Amino acid sequence: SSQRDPDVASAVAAIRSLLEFLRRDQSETILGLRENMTQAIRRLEETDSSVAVSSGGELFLRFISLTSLEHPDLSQCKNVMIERGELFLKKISLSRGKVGKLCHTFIKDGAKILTHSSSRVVLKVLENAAADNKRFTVYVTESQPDSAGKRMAQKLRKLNIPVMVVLDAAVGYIMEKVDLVIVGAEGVVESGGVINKIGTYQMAVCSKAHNKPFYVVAESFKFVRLYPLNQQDVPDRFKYTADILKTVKDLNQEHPMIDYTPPSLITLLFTDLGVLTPSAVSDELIKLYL
Amino acid sequence: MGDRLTASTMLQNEGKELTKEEKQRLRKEKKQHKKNKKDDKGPPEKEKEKEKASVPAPSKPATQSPAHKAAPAPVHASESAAAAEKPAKSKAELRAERRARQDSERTSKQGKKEGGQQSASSKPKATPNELQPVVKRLPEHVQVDDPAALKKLAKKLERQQVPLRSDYGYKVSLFSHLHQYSRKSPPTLQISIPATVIHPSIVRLGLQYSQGIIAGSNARSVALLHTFKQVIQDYSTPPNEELSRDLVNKLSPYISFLSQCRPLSASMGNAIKYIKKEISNIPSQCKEEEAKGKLQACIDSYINEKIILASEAISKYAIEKISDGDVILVYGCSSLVNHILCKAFEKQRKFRVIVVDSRPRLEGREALRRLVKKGIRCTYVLISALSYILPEVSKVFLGAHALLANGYVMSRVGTSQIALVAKAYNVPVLVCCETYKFCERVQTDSFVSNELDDPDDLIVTRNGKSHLENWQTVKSLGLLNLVYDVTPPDFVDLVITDLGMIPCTSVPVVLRVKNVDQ
Repeated sequence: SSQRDPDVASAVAAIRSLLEFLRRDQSETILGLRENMTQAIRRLEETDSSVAVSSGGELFLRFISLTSLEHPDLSQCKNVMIERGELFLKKISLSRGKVGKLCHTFIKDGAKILTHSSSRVVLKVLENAAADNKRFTVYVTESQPDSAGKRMAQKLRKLNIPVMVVLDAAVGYIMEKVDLVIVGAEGVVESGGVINKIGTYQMAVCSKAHNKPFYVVAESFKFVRLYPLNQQDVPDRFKYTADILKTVKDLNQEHPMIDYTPPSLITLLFTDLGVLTPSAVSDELIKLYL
Repeated sequence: MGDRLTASTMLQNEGKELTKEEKQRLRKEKKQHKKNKKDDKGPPEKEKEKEKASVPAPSKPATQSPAHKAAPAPVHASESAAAAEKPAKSKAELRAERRARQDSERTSKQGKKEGGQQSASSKPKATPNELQPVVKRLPEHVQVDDPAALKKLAKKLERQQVPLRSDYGYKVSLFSHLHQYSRKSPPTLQISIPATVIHPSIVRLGLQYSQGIIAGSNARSVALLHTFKQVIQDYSTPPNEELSRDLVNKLSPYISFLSQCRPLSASMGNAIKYIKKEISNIPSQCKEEEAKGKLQACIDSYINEKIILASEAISKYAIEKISDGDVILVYGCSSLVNHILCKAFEKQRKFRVIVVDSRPRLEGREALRRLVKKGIRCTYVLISALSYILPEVSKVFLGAHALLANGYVMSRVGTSQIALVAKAYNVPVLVCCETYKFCERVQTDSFVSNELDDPDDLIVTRNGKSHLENWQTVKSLGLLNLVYDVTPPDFVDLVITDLGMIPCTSVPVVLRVKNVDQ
């Protein structure tokens, strides 16, 4: 469904389908319901192995079962859960707008922005900034192997924002020209670091070397309970697409699709919970999950 | 001054003969007086005492609680001692009161004393702080070069009939504010046998601490808790006394004695705070046997939850971080890290361990012995070879003595060095620490609060010659045997606690969550 509606994040679509699943679920007990939901999440992860689907699914499950389900009648419990599920879905559909509103003030008039690959949240931020009558130019990396950067450039051209596509290898070259770097995230981990399309880590290291601010924009349902220590520590099920995981035997020959950027390289994170420093992410995660 | 001291001690002895009724009456009077004076401080004295008692003061839980609990005169001196470090105005006030007390009646003394005590205790409450308005005072063990503080300590110990241990040898000037004791003169030399004030198992425990027989944060805490169980078992409430008040008072001289043997660790401080809270929560109508049984059960559950089960939980998280083919570096002997490695080995993870060791304690040998017994492949180096072997290492696992509120890790001396070099080589550093070792102290360097071990430990005999044997005779020579150091949070990548894996900067969040729970 995410291919059909390109504006909707795959995680949101996943949660929508989970909600539908919940409505149609036939189990007799709450435990059975939870088991079915976890199985459904796992099935969704198999089709789309992004971090956001996994985190979104887990948060959805926690959110709906956070209520004290004391009603003796299962159908009443289910109705409560469905209500909360819909609330959750509404909240996260609005989160992108919130992030956009928060972040666009950080873009000053005449700014030169560097971004990586194609992110709907970054697009929203730039849209808001353009609507605010700010003049800025955007450099987008090509982001091979799927050339997502070119798609992003097309979308930006439609908004009448001057944009230039650069090679992935030209990040170091272009860094001295830009004023700030904004990237999206597929997942925000417990340490405050982010998991994003491959090439983000490089960009972060370059921007640190040039002392340019490195901003990450992400919705709060992307917060995930992982804690990678380095690139090797990111689980394989996120690094490669679902089809490759199923078909290929020796993963060492494959190119990973994502990398991990440690919190020391990130200046600020813009989320619908507010503007956070990387060390505050753990605080928010504890609040979300405990 | 001398005759004033004897006069006050005479009055203290008189105070001991006060009947229980008078004591209770005095207590009630104080309560009433306080209630009338402080309307905005709603909670009654008992709760206020409890709050004060639970305020973190890792090295001085003893004096803070009796400061507000028992009425009898012996405690007045400690109250004035406790309040004396607050602004000079109340200090002078209290001194004047003490002089007045020495020539007037008990009840008129009581009135003035209450006035002074309230102004002193209202000062911390007056500070505009919506959370816990705590005036943190310097614990006495970092004020050794201040003669006033030493005198206060001496008086307090004399009152509690605990022997004062004297410092040994020349202290390096940067650390002259810390105690430095010699193992050859244990504090038990000055105690009569059988000890009347101090319970014999406490004496034994103190000796074990001072001689280094029991070492390591967890071991010390567990030993302390077991000894307290014994003490509670042998305790019998004197007539006309309440268990909840009297037992806490009985524990204070024990704690002073133990801190004379070896300064209390953060984990021990937290354990003591917990016990005191439990004791003071015993309802007064509870029968003695029942109360004792409850306390024993509390202590058992504390040990079980905070130490044993926590260690299991931490191993579970830590094993996820150990992958096949890892080369893990450990330093010294941390019971928790050894436990994790043994568990990981049982779960069939393929890794090898490099044990780093340092003089004079050479604790790494104990860790090496335990790991090799399990069958884990180990290498043993001294800390001077650290930069040589670090390129081979994939992860560093460190234990901690305490985790401070600003994210700094306090651990055995040498840990900070390991973290620094590991950072330079981009090797991830993982610290494993149970939550009961988290303390609300803040420290940014290893100087302000540390422990100095026996300097004679540094003397080494090689080829029949020990060069440093007569170090005391050389005027310009000082031997420094530090025990702890602090590691800044930038060098630590991950802290594994029983609550999960958190970054080092999230320690205050955990402390906040824990306080909310309690």
